[in-house]
Amino acid sequence: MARKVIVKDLLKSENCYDREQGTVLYKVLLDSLINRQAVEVDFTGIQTITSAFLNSSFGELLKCRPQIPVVKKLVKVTYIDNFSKKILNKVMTNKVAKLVVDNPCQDCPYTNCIHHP
Amino acid sequence: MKTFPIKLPAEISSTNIDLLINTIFQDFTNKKVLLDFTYAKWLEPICLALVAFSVFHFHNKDIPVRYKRPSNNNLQQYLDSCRFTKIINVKKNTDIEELETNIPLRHFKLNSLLDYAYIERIMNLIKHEVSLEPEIERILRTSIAELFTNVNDHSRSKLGCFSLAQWYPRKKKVCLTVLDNGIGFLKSLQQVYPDLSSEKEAILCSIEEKTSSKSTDRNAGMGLYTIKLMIEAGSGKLDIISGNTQVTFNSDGTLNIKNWTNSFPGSIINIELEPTLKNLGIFADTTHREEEDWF
Repeated sequence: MARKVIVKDLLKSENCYDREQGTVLYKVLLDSLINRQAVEVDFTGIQTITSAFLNSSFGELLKCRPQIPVVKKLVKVTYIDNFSKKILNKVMTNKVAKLVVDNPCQDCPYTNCIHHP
Repeated sequence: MKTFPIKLPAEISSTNIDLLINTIFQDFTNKKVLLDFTYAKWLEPICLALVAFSVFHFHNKDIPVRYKRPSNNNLQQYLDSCRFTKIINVKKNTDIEELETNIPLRHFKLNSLLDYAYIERIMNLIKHEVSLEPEIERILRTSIAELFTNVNDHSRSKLGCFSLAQWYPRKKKVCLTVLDNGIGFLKSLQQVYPDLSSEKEAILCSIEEKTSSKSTDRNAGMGLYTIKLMIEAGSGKLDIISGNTQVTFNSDGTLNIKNWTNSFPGSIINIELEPTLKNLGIFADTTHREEEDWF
């Protein structure tokens, strides 16, 4: 059964503006992924979501290429507005483009990598 | 030590801000500066943010600076009410009533930029003049928040950020200025696009919606791109100043580009929104281009 994260309750805010808030969500997501647990991120009641927030939450999940299918399979995003969803897709696509150049899996330096827990 | 007077002209807006930049950012070694407001009558937010920043800039360089008040009492009251005189430290009292028509000048330090209440106040000011559908309001709020996150995350501004918003009921427009003294657009974007060779190229690059392989964290949020679309969908204009270059994006899709001699040490975003937001449906459609769907 998927774990459900209601962002408004987690952050105690209707606005997802900054990196610090993103890091709070990142830690919750990472915990689920390390345990191979599906997670639903529910944005009900959220007014504003910036790219800084999305980079430091969802974007941080991708630290090497084999994490991509894990993230895609286990993370589900619901009740996000169309504009923010477009930014989220762009953030993730940017991150993948950088992984190709900067961070091939064989050199993965992260001890908390969800592909090598 | 000689005093160099910087005489502000009667009116300053984004259209003639280059005159002020060229005067302020010259070599004042072994000189004192007098900011002379005597003849000033009409100063838009971009001017006040710039002059307030210049006071900090001069202090940072140990250049003494004095202020000479305007002869126009209405302007002096305005400078007080929008906290300009308090920010530049020539007026100590804090009991001046704020006006409904402006969001007073704020000096933010980096990492304290994202003040939710401040962004909400800007939105409320805009809504005095511009009727926004809920989806457009959400997009505009996000885009304005992105302006501040960009300064926070990318500018490396040493003196922080200055911001001021003003509603002009008779002119039916709202102006918002966000100024930082960071590395500017060219140096910031050259990290990803080493071929960029001028501020003009960098500004134009920053305003495009990039394909995935060429995107950066700086434009993923699409703040400037979205504001430009919004202006093209209605009326008003967007000015971006970086270094010695100003690019103005007009509502009819045309550009004005200016270069000058003395570089501004940072970047300025100035937005003018007017109420005739037509074709909003087209704008909304434009922002929903297809991307790979991740979740």
